[in-house]
Amino acid sequence: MTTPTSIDETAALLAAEGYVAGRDLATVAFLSLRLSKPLFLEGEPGTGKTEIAKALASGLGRKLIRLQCYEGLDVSSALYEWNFAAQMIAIRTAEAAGETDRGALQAELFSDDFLIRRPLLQAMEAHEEGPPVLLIDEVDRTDEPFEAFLLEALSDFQVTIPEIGTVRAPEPPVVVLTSNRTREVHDALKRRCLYHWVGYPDFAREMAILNARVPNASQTLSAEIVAFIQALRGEDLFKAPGVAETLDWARALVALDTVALSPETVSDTLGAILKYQDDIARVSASETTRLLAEARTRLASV
Amino acid sequence: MSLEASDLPGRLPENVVHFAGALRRAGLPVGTSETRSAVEALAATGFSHKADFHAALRAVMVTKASQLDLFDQVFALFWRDPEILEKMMHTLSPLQRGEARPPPPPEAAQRRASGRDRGAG
Repeated sequence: MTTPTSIDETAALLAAEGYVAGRDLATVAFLSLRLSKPLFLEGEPGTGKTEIAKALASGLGRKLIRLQCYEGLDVSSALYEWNFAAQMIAIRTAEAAGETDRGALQAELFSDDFLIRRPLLQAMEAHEEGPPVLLIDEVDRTDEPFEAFLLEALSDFQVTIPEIGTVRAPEPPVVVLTSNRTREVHDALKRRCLYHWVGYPDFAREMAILNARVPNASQTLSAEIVAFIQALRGEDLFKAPGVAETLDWARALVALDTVALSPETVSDTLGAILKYQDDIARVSASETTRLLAEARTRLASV
Repeated sequence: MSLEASDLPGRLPENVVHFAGALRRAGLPVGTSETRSAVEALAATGFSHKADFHAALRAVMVTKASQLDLFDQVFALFWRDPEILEKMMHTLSPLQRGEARPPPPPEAAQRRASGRDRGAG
């Protein structure tokens, strides 16, 4: 599929992949494709930041390359490494065979065969189907030196491997960065990007997401689920449920053949939406009944 | 592909520059490169919907969640009537204005730099 030429086409492309994007997110995604600027998505966990990269990749028919960030992630795990073990074997084999040509051995050891391509290098290589979608997930988990390196990599999309030469992306990849905002990512990096805050969806959009992703849940049940989750997000919780939790819960309830929510079913399946013991303890049986009543009143008024 | 300011209708590029100035006075660090990106972004999105216009400007001019509210407020004021904002700024007390204002330019350093230029030339 070709790159969308309008915001409507971008929204349609995402919708075809089961991703229900708000108009503002579709606008930013379109701009990212059109202006070849990385997309920086920040927001609470479970609001679909990672999913948009997946939807973009499959909608555009491009390869998805994912760089999962973590504390201590270094340049070699992100870019490339030499396959040290294989190099050692090659050296021993050469020794055993009595090869003495040092130059040839050197050239062989630092050739393509011994290069381990990590996500960033993969993203800079040419791909038949067009530039890939590079997902740099949870960039807030890395440290500042790595951010500085990313800033450089995302500015020129080229990397020099001393032994081989320079690899340059023929066309810049579509870059999506996500952050859960466990810390503030440096401004210099964000300035290169299009910033978008991904919040919790409103009732109508969450219903649309649920219908698209869990179509076998009945309308009544879906409406109750969304209303309950939205009521729950208003509570003082350590970790409010995201859209991912809504979907998990809906799947669990469908698997249990639930037709409508009751305080008992909610209490039994609370583990699908609340992931911390403190939160589960807080939402006690009486709380559940109250929240359910609140959700029903809200539904009745819609 | 190149999108230039001339692709935009009428006085829009100028207004974007003024808008960037308004954001700066409100305390958002919006520089020349953001302003340029904003003009490019607007040329790409078109102007049929105000919501798209808003989303496009916000994506290039905001870099933190904490700036979103401020951006939305300045946006609402500015694109309704750019002059209202000017008036608003004047009604703020000097103390508040002082907080929002960026630090004064390093005059001494500038004088030194220009003096060096003269010396070199």
